Amino acid sequence: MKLRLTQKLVISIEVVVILISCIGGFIAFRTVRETLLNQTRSQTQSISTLKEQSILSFLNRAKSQLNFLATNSTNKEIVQRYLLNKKEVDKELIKTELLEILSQRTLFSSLYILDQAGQVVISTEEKDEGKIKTSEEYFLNPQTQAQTETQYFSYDSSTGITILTITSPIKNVNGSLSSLLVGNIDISEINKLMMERSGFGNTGETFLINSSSVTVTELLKEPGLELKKVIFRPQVKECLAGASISDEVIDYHGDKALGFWKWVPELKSCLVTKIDLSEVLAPLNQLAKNLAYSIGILSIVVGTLGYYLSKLILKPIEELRNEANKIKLGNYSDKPLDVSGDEIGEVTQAFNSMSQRLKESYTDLEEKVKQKTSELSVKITELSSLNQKLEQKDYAVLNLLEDARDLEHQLKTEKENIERKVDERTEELTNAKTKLTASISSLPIGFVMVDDSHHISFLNKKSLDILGMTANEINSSEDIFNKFPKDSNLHELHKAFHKENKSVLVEGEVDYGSKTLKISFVPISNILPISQSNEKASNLGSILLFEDITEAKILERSKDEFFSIASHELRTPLTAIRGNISMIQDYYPDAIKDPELNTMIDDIHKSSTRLIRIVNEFLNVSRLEQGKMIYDLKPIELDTLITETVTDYKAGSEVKNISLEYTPLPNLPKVICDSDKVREIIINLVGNALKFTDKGGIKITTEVLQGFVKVLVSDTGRGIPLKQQSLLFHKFQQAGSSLFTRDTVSGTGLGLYISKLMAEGMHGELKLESSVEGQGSVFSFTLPIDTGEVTKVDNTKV
Amino acid sequence: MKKVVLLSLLAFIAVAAFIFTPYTIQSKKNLARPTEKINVALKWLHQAQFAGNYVAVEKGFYRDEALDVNLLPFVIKGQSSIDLVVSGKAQYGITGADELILARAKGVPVRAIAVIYKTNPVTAYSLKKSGITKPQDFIGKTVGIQMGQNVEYLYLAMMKKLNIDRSKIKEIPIGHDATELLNGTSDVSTGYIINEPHMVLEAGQKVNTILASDYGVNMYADIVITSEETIASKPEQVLSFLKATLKGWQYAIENIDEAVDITLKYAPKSSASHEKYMLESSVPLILTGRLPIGMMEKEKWEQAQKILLEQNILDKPIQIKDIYDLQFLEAIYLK
Repeated sequence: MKLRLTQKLVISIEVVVILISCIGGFIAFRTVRETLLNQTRSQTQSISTLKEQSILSFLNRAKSQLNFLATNSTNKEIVQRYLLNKKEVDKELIKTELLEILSQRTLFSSLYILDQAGQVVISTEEKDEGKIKTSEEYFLNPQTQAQTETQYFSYDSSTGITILTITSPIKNVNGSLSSLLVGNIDISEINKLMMERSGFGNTGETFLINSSSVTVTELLKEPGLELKKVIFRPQVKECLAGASISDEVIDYHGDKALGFWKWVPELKSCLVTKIDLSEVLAPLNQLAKNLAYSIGILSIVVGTLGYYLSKLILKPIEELRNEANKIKLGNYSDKPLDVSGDEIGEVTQAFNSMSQRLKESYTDLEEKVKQKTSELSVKITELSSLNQKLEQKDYAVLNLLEDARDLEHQLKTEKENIERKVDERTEELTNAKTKLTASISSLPIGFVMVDDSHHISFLNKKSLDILGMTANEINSSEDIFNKFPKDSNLHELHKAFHKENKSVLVEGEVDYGSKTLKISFVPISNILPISQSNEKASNLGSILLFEDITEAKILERSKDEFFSIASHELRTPLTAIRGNISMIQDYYPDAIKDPELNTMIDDIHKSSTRLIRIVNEFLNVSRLEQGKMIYDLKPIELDTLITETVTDYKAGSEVKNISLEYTPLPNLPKVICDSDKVREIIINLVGNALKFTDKGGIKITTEVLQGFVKVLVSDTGRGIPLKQQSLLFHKFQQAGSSLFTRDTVSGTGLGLYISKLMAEGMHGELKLESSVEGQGSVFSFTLPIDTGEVTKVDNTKV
Repeated sequence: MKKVVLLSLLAFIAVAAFIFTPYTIQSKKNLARPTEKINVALKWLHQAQFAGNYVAVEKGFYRDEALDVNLLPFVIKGQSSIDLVVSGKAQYGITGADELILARAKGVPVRAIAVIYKTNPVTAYSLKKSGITKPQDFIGKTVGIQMGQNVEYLYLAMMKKLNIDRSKIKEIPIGHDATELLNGTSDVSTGYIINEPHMVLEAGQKVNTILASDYGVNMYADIVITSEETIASKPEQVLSFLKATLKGWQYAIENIDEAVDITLKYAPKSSASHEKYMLESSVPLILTGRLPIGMMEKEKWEQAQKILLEQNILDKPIQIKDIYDLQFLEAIYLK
């Protein structure tokens, strides 16, 4: 709860005032209470004493009265006499006496005299006479016989009232007891004394309680209970034991009371004096009420006063607040506030100067703010455009991120694939390697793999066999090379290989002991596909291949020998035959006039000529195969060559009724070739065409290709079945079965073979362009164009 | 702030609990005590003579002592209250002191635990106009006597004490009311001061009463008895019963009108004036003012026995201290 200063001040003052008055009131209250109680205590005590005194004086009067009667000598005499004689006269006398007492002073309600047997002999009450009082306690008490005694309260059945009995012994002349004078006091007499309550308030009372804890006098709050009401209280008990007590108690009616208990031995009773606490403390209630009212009024007064006072004190603060609010809204007043003399005034002063300064700095600030605002607005526009760009980039980045994520996923998949593939490949490679190693090991060639630093990576058993070394002996290629004699051409091969930077295949035949070896230095790049050969490959090392060609060499030598022998041995007789036959034909025509003989001589001529050709062909083939064919390569005009050759066949074609045409190209470049060989090729091709064509024609054309001239021979012949196309250029194979007679050249089936070899020997190519069964075939061969350069002859077989 | 409130609340609860626990324990104690059902055999038919018992029942004094009391009135020609207590049909009984002494002489194991009527109500009563005010006036007159009971022998004891020559008196048997007196059959009748004289008053006549105890012949009348077995086995119950009974009597004495109303519940055929007369006249016989209600004295018991012996009702004296048990009265009054 937010309280205003005024409220706070007022509340503080109120609280203080109320607190003080409450405390004060409380103290006053307690003090007054104590005072009242003490007063009452002393009051009850004094009343008690007074009452006791009045009762005792009353009793004394009664006792003395009785005593007077009892001790009166005249009375004594009369009583004595009566007791003896029982004369009515005496009785009446005494009776009169007794009655007189009764009438004079009304202390006693009845009087009677008991004889020694306890019988009522004379009584103021007629009906009492004759009653026996032996059961009365006083009768049994010896003390009674001595003197006048106050006895006790009891209920008189004859009169129906509560009485207090006083006895007085009547003694004989000689001092012995003659009879007992009994006086009964009506309780109402004593009640009167008790009920005298003036000055004791409304609830103040006194009463007597006998030793049986029974009330004997009247109770103010519960009348009519004499000798009926029993009051058990610890205070009563103590009092009956003989003590005097002042205490607070709950009275017989259940109310809180202040009491004083006094033991009255004469009556053998407790005199109780009490007054209700409510009455005692009544003034206190009044006091409390007054206090409450005054506190109430005080608070109101204080509150009001406080309110105005605080308003006065706090006025400057209010002004300060208002001013501050104005400043808050931006209204700077020029007039400073009034300054009071106290602390608030000092604050006001400070506030004034502060306000002034604020105003100045505010205007100053305004200017600066304007300036900065304009600068800022510029910047803001810049920023917003930047922001836009950033946003765009944002999107791009986001997209990229997405792509990247996809890519990542893809990559992951790919990676998995690759890994899988790698595993597969590795397995394959391992398998391949195993296969390779096995294959290499099974090669009939010695295989040694040398790495870049001349160390042996791998070698197979065959190499060891060939070299006649053990694996332990060979650690590097040097170990191998050292095995060869110093003048061996191996070292030259080695040098040549190194010269070419180990990138070109170098091979040669080397003698090794009794063996002849074909040693090849193979760069590893050469083994790789052409696309992969590069510098790196050369670092992998090289492979040394050792082939034991001793046998092959021997064989070759034998072959050479055979051929030379064969050629010579064969040709000589053949030449002789033919020469002779020619001579016969030429010079002895008459001798062979005989037609049969002529035919026979002709046959022999033809056959021998044929044989010679066949032998020549074989020799050519072998020479070609061995690479011993010599080509006389010169720039040649193909045109002329073809024309010449074609002319030769014109006749043959006419016979078969097929055309034979040559369509020359203008400006056909010269080609580098051996004209004789080319002629032979043309002859072969045209010849074949002619042989296998029955209708149509043969066309010969030329083309210019990149660096080559192609010559095409196309026919409309039988064509070659696909199956036999592959066998075309093999030895002894003939395209198509021999349906027609062969002529000498093609009969051997070597024609195309020789042509192909020859074309290749001239760095050209001979092939079947196309062939369709029933339609015809197209053969072609190429020859290099003369570029003016001299090319080296490469003896390597292609 | 809240903590303070909470703490003070807790403190208050704790204190309150502490203060009230004794009460709850107390009441629990009472509740814990199982209510005992007991039968009380009354000496006579329901009337204000037993007002204290009725009040104790109706005002819940017995209930406070965890006793469920059933008051059994005397059944004409039925068993006496002593017999009922002996047989166990009743745990407590109201009987006459003379009856108890006679029973004890026969060895019946019952004892008196309190005396209700300290002064015997046996009285002779006459019409006022007859002028008979004392026993000595009986001479030459007809006296109606209820034969065979304490009325008779108390009358005889009184006559003996006073040395009155009974030969000069005509004694006739009468019933339990004032019929004979009222119709003139007797000049003076005997009865109980609490009962018959009122009948005379109700009949519109003034009455004289001649109380036997006034003439030196006094004997405890109604006493509260219980079996020796009950005293031995259930002393707490005896104490509780007596406490409540005496409390009932005290209340009846202090609140006579209310006690009369309660009595009428038990004796609905009676009248309020009759019960009130009975109760009011009983008060000085019960609360003599010198001893608390119920308190017994040895001398009084001796006195009673003496009369019985004199009248040859009792053959030989018995041990007085066997007749009664003061422990319960002492526990109530002297603590």
